[in-house]
Amino acid sequence: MRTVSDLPLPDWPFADSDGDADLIISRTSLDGPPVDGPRHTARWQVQPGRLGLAVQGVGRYRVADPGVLEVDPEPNAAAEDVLLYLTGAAMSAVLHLRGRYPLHASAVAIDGRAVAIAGRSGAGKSTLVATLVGRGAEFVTDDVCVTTELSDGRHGIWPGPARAKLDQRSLRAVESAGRDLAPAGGNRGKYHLPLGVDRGRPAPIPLRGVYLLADDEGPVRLEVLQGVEAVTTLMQETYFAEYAGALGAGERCFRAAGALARTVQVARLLRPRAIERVPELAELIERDARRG
Amino acid sequence: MGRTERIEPTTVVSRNEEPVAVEVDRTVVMLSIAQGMYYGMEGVGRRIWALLETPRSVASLCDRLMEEFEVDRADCEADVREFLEQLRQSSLIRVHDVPPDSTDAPAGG
Repeated sequence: MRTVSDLPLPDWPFADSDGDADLIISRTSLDGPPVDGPRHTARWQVQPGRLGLAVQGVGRYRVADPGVLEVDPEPNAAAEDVLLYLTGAAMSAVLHLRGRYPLHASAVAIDGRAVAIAGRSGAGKSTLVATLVGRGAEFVTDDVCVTTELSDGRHGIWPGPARAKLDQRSLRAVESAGRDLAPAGGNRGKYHLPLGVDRGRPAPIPLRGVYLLADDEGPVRLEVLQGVEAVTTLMQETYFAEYAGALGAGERCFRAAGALARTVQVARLLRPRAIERVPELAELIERDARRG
Repeated sequence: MGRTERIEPTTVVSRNEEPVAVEVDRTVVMLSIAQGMYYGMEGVGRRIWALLETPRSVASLCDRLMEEFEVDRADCEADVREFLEQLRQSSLIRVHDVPPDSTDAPAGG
């Protein structure tokens, strides 16, 4: 999605300087009632074809046309906070309205094929991805996988910005603590860890499988999902699933989840929530990704 | 709604426009957006759903199923009627008193 933006979009792989863009990010004045509460308190209003989002201490966003994302930053807002919601919640509405199917997942490529790591916020997606990259995998995207159907019927995902968001604990785990990193915005104390390379002209990477991080006290193991479970799991892991239905994209997402479940492996990755076990998860994913 | 008549061998049933269905791993997975519910059907259920692509009577459904599965008519009709009753309660199918005219579908169920 070639993008022309009034705001600088550092590392955004689809930024374009000419006017012939798929998406225009426009800085404008947006009205609405004030949002009460501490910084980052968000209020959103979604209806078919339209998202309005207001974030206390950050700004307002509006998507009323799938080709235009409007943003009105508060005068004293931190640039990283403005970008966090712009490339997150607001961009999710753009994707849903354009019929793209985004998964809330991070991804690396192993032997040229992408594996996506899904799981709720704080589950350790980015830490696992940074660990896999440290072991030789190629970085693809952090936090959101925009899927696409390839010409041969397989599904692929688009590379994202060449960085992942990690908190201090995770940075220590991947031996990147103490580096001078830029804050990633938001209130979770995360930083942008540069990963991978700027590809210039990005192309989608064929997707092999989706692994959902799930809590379990037993041994680290995979549970391959079939049929209803595979599809409903993907639906639950849809990026901003709560917006998709209200925007009128629920049916589209369901069809996309079904198509994805037919062509890629969907598995639950059962593991205890312990950061010292992450290398074990990485090894299991590498083994599974290289199998067949 | 509120139709409580029994499903008889002559009763004609058709799929509702909702849900949206996709097929994965030999399972039909359905999403009813109106109800916010997922449904799955495998085996004979999946076959019945496929046959309901066009409206059919229970008897005609059983004609086909008896060709494909080893079952006698009495058992088949009893099982199919029970299965269709479940589908009706989940609003996945519509039950017609008379065969629907394909060019003039009944307005709402």
